[in-house]
Amino acid sequence: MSMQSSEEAAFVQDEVSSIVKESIDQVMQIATYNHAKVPQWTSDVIETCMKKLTLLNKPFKYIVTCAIMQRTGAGLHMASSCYWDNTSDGSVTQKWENKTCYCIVTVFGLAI
Amino acid sequence: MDFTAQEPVKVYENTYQMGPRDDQKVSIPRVEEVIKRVLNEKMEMTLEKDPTKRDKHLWIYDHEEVGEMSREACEAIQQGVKELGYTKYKLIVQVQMGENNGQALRTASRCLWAPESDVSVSGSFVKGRMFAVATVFCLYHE
Repeated sequence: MSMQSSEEAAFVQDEVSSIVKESIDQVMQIATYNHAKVPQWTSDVIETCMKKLTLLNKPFKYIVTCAIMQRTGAGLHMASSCYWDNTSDGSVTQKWENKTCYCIVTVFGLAI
Repeated sequence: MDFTAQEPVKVYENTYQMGPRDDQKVSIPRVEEVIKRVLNEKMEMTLEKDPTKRDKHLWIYDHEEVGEMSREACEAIQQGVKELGYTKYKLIVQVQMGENNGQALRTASRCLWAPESDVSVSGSFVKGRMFAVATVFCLYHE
């Protein structure tokens, strides 16, 4: 029995990138940094992302990480290192900012 | 006749294994230990205090240096977890390092995976002028 073609099972960066961007815009558009609301926002952004990713119906495990930081002039570095299969797995990072906060969302997709 | 060497086609037999066996499962405390050890090592130099002024840290936040530090920490954690010997797992290590400036940072993550076999472990380090958060995701793969 032949396996499914590899195009279907590869991580498509552009597709996922646009999904992430849409999700962040949807939730954070009208947001001014408010400490009490941040947990809600992080959850919302991630849930929205996840729902759209599952609609792609691909045989992937997903990890979505969202970091929201208040804009006070401090620096932040984010690094990631992955031990996976280069041909089928991939990641996408999207940065978003407005006057009061930064939002960084990373999606890792690993083929099953 | 054509004698050019060709790699024999590898055929993998079924193991009929659906998930990790008990001895193959990731041990969360061990991974936590690796994270703590690496973060402590990397961050040690940021804690150097000025001997002449009380409570004043010598080390000043430098953007490129911290970038380098976070990449090194990532590699070191990945190496450490690989050495623990979980052969059937794919690893993702994420490190966030920044300046402690009185700002708030919130990180959340959600995962769509198999909860019986996949784990995530995280550790943090907040001291002096720096903070560092490291998360390791281990996903079972046949």
